[in-house]
Formats: sequence, structure tokens, C-alpha cells
Amino acid sequence: MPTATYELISTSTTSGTVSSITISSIPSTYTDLVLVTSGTTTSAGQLIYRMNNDATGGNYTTTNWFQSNNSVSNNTSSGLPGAYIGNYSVSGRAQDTLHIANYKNTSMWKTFYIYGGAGTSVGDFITSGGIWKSTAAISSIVMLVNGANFTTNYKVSLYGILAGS
Amino acid sequence: MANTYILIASQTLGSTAASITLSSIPSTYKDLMLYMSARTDNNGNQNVSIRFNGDTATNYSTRRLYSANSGGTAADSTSGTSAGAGTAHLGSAIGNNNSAMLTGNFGATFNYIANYSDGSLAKTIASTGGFINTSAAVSASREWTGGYWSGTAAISSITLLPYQAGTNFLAGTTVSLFGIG
Repeated sequence: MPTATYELISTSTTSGTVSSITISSIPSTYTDLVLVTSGTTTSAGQLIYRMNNDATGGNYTTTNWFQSNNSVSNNTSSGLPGAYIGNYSVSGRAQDTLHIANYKNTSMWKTFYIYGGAGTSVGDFITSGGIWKSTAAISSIVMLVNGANFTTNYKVSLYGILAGS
Repeated sequence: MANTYILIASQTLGSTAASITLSSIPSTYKDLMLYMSARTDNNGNQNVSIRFNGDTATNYSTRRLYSANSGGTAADSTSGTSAGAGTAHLGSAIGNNNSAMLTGNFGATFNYIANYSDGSLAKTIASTGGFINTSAAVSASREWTGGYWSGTAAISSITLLPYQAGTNFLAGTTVSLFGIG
């Protein structure tokens, strides 16, 4: 029987405006993680993912290529209280897909890749790669919007991918 | 065994077609993943457009980030333009029929649709893909796209069309739809 993979670990939907969304108790069952998010924010702001609630800005670095207001930009972000690897949408739901490889490996820093964003003109679209400079296994992820909040019906689904043996 | 990443439908064109429709999509899953390998008879690069539930109204918009050969370009589009009327762009440009494009060279696009079976919220799609033409006149395109459909109904059908009016998908174009979660 094939090994089950890309399994839904958890899913949540905000019932009101919230400042953060936490995915906790992530099992060490899988090899990689995929986090799919969609919704809107109360205002413009960088979408930030914080691993194990590590708020030390120096522990994250991301390289971003994005479009904002129909203009292409790129930057390398560091020093934010989490990984700036997301984007926002104030009007019209935006969708992000975050891939985290080897999330439970305790001998290497964690790497991630994300793409997604607004499909409307009131938000950014981004593709990013980054690192979290920690060898700890990821057991929780906190999502924040820098200077803003998540609105009602912001959906978050976490999937686990198990590598074949 | 977990009910995830299950093949819902797959099509391979045996001849030229103006569009491909996947219908009767069950509401069993949480998200959808759509893979496409495509080539059109257009003499130049173009995108694939997507339409949900046969909705041809101007209920779509797209925010694009792409690189054709070099550099980077941002572009927004709203539905109601060209053959993409009532559709959203999918990333990326796909194989075209320019004389410099080698036979058998197709482009690929990967498209994730979150919460497709939710009957109360507008829908989103994140796409990525590209192609490279390995002829002497090398050209390539790579694209990432965010798409938005304001329809709140659960998605039960998907129609794929070449973006340029009057163009068609060529034989060998394939589409696979998977249910996730």
C-alpha cells in the first residue's frame, strides 16, 4: 500500500479580526510541511511567519521578488520578528503556499520557499526563499501581519509530506 | 489511507481544441492542485486562462510576476480582455507554435486552488510555471501569478483556454486535477 502523504494536519478559520494565528503541536511524523493560507488583512503589512515563536529578527533572512502596485521589486529582509515571506491583500482574498523542508531535522537550519499573494490590485504578490537559523525541530508556527491584523474567515491549512523510504 | 492528493480527472488532447473542461468536480476535498503541460498554435508566447463554473462575467483578476528571457515584469489584469474574457490568468506562458519552437516542446503550469469546496467565500489560486525553447534562438519564460474569483459557490467545473482569442491547444496538451486534504 502506498505511503500516505500530503496529509491534512490541521485547519483553522478566524471568526473575527485577530492579530495573530498560531499553529501548534505540529507532529514530528512527516518530512516536510506545506502551509496554505488565504484571506484578507485589515491594512497593508508584511506577512510574517515565526517558527517556534522565535521573535529574534537576526534569526531570519529571506530573499524576496515581488510586485507591488504593478511594479517589480526585490529585497533581502532580515531583522523582522519572524520571516518576511508573505504578502497581504486588503480587498479580495490572497493565497500563500509556504513550503518548509526538513522541518524536524535537528542538525540543520530550516529552509522555506513561498509564493502567492493578492490576485487583486490591493495587495502584493511575492515569491521568496529564506532560512531560519535554528536547528530546532519546528513544532509551532505563528503568523502575524506587520502593523495590521487578519480579518474574519482567514483560513490556514497545514499539510504534512512524508518522504518515501 | 488518507484521502489526499487523489487524481480526480485527467485529459490528454488527441487533436487541436479551443478549450479543455473538467466537470463534475466532487466537493470531497479541501484544496485542488491542477497540473498542465500545454502548447498552443499561437505564434508567440501566451498564458493559459482559467474559468470556474462557466462564469464568463468580469469576476476575475490576476496579479502577475514574470520574467521572459531576462529581467522581471509586473502586470495586473482583469477579466474581460481577449479570449481571457471571464477568466483569470494562470502562470505561465506555455509552449507556442513559433517556427523556432522545437517540436514536442511544451510549457508547464502548476496551480493550487485553496478551499475550492467552500460555498461561502471567494476563491483564490496561486500559479507558477514556465517554458524554455531549446532551439538555437533560445527563449524562456517563468511566471508566478495570484488569481482571484469573486464567485462564492463551490467550484464544480474548470475550463482552461489559451489567452489569445482564436488560438487553440495542440494535441498532446495534458491536464491533471488532484484533490487534496
